[in-house]
Amino acid sequence: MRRNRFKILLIVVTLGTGVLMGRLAHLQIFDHRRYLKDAYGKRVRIEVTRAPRGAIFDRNGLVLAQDKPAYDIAIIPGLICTRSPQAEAETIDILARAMHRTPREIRDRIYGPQGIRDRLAKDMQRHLRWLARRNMLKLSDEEAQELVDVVRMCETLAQARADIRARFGTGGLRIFDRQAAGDFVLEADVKPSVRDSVIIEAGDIHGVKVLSSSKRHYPFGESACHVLGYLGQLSQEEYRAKEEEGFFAEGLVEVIGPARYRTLERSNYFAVQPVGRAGVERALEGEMRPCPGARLVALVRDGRETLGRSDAQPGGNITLTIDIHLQKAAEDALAGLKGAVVVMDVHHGEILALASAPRYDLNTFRRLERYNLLRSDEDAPLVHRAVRGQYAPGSTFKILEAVAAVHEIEGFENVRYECHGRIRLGPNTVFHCRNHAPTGPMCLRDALKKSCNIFFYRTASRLGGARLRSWSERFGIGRHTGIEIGDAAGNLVQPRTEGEIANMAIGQGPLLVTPLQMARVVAAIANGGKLVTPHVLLYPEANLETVDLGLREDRLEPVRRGMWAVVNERGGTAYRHARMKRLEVAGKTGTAEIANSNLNNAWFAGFAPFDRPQICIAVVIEKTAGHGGDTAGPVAREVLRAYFHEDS
Amino acid sequence: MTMMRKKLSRVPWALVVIMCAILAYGVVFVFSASYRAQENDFTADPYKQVVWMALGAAVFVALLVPNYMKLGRFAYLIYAVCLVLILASYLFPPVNGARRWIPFGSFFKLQPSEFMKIAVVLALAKYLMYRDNLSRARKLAVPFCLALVPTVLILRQPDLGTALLFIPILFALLYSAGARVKHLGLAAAIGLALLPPLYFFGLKDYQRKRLTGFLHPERTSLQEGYQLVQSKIAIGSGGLTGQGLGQGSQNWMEALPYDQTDFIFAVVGEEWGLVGAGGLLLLYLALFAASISIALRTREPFGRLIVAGVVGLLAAQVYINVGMTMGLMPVTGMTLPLVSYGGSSMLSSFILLGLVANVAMHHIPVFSSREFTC
Repeated sequence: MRRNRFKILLIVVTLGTGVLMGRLAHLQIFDHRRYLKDAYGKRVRIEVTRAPRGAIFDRNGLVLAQDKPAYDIAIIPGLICTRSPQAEAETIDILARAMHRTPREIRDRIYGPQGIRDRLAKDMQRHLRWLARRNMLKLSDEEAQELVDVVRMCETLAQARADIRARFGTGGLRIFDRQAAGDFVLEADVKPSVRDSVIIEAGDIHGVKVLSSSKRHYPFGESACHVLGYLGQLSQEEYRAKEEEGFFAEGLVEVIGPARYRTLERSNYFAVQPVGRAGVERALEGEMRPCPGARLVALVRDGRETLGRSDAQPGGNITLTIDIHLQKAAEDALAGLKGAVVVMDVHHGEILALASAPRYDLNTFRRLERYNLLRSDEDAPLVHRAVRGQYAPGSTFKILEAVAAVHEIEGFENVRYECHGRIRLGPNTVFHCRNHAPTGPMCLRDALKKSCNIFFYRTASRLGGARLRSWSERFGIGRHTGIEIGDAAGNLVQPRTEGEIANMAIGQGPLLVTPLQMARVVAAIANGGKLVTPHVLLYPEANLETVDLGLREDRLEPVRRGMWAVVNERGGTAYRHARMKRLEVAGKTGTAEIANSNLNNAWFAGFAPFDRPQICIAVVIEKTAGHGGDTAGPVAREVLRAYFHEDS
Repeated sequence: MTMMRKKLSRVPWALVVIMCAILAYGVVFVFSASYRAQENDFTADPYKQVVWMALGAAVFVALLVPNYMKLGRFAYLIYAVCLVLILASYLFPPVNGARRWIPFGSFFKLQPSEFMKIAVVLALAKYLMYRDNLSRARKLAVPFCLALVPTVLILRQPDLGTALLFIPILFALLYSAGARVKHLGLAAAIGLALLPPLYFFGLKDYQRKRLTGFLHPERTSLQEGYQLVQSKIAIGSGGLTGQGLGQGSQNWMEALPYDQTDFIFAVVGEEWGLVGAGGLLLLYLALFAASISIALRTREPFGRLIVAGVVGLLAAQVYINVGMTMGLMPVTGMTLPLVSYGGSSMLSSFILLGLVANVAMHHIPVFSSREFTC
């Protein structure tokens, strides 16, 4: 045994300490600034603030849709449910009293289906998968599954936590605690009185929270629901696409920097923000969407200090051309029916009402189960029939045909055809007219009034397929109208054979139009030949495209007179159904047979007042046993009455 | 009375004072690390820590009374008992995937490996006090077995950090006992040659990751790497004088996992800076120097070897623990002696230093110029 060796041992120990001192000095002197910056960076947090989405008003300034503050009552499971059973029960009792519910109800909400266990299990599963993807999971797949199952199957969360501690140790606990620290909403959108009593009675309980959120409120419920549209979340693909084009980063990234924006994006913040999924909400998303604000906050030991902020910008408000009272009148007129009503200003294309039935209530729409129910409904309440419903126009098409004929055929207003109820158009093709009793020679005006098929078979035959098609095209059939909320194009093909031409003459066959397109045709006839662009947004000046079709006033006159006679002369197809005492309405009925059934789609398309046209209207009633006049006519009359304040 | 005074005068007061200074660090920083900003309160841990310290001090004082030579008679027995306890720990359900503990109710879990360290020091010192056992390479097989059997058993628990401690104990004792440098070099060479196969076949995946993770902590920034990254931020941001007690943001933000136990040095570095952390390192150096000076004053080989073993063990613990907080060593579960929170570790450190103090008090004065041999 040598003394030297102990001295050498001392030297070794000194050298070891020297190495550590050197490293310590290196970290704390040379790299000090860098690490200080890192430490500081970790203390900085982003707090995102939200502003309300733009409101929607009708043309008279009534609110149709608006963000309202809402309050949710939430708990932090990790602070409430993992304490002793007595403590948990006490908290539940207090909450129940404050929320005007029984403890049983609160407990059911927490531990019932879609309660805390499901939520936590789901969140943990996601977190475990995330860890596994990054190779940071120390558990095998079975163990991970077991960990999730402990939570899913547990009696109480306190029990689950104890089990996890025993079986998985602190590693498992960390995974559990992390997820249990998130808010769990007990009740969303509570009344202010409930909010206040929760704040007063349970506000000082660690883990009880009143979250302020916002809720879209629709004062008119289901009225104009299709026009307004609903909010929802973007699908994964849509979200990716929008994210990549910088949709969410705009205005925010300048304040919080790209790295923090990434963090926020990864945390799903933007993906869960509601966006317009239909109607005006969708079409004007860019206008109405609020720009989120952000605050940069540095945590300090006893609180926080604000480093920088940008305020949230509320979304822009929108005023529609819709008159909500007329809209409601149109909807009331459709009560119990399936169909659509379009009311449009004939000169500028402002839509005054755009009703579709059946409808849905926007205020209850956000619930997923409600949405799924609506989607699977046979009557397709989600479809906006006024712009997206495509129907054979039936006899209403005859007005377009008449306009074509008076312009293409010289002296057509004097042409007369006889109707014997049937006509042979080929060796094996016989077409009928059962719209009226056989008469002698008949002019255009009477043919419109009685909706004579024979007259229009012959007219169409003279015009030929190409001209029928090109005139339809000029009136916008088969094309989108350009309305902001989007619509269907309908269907237009050129008829080739005599049979096809005859079918088109009475608006049957492959020809399909939307009610909005039909209203536009009527508007063009009423306003002297201008094809308007229908719109639901109220612009300060009507600077929307209006196409002059080059029609002649003197030639339009007989068509209008025919339409007048339909409603106002004894024997007209809508005489008994749409005539009003003090208001002269001009229009045309249509009854489009639905193949392989006894049912029809009933039409009425017209304008009023006759001498100084203001508005046009198109009504379609789906799958009815009745005819254009007796089914669609009264609906039109109801709506017109509401507009002109006509009493019956 | 005179007897008492005589005894008190023999207590190595330098050692005791240095210990107290290091313990003071422990109290201060376990307190600081246990602050919970969310609740604006401290956990109960620092109070428990003080209880453990009092218990440790009592054991320390008690250990001063009997002559360590008497303890030597039981060295192998203690070794055997500890070995049995380690085997017994395999019978209990794993915690965190490891079977390191024997639970006694809910309050205390005994970690036998902590006491195995002491047993190995005693057993090796006992065996190596006879020079005869050192001359031949063949006879060196016994001390290697004494050290490697518990190493393997503890490695299987698994507890890599503690297991690795037996190697510095062994080498410190062999070297101090006078084993030929040639033999030691050979053993070290064999050991190094065995490392690669051991690394690839003997370790679990996460242990491997830990061992190499410290080389590139940023790449595995969420588990082992995460701790290291956070710890380096804490130490680096401390600078020369630190952010002030209780003011370290890594500490109060709870960004640093295990900040009361394995990573307490990072809290020292963050809050007291180079001055405080460097001071702690110097205190440890002083502790080792004081211990070695006790060894140098002692001529009795068993006592000297005990001191060598204790210094080797504690120095290895300090270097590994401090080294891992600064990214010089792999992250393994290793406490900082006398500072980290934890009962077993605190007790075993007190016992080890109690043995050293005992050696100082009971060394047999030998007035021969030649070395004492049996």
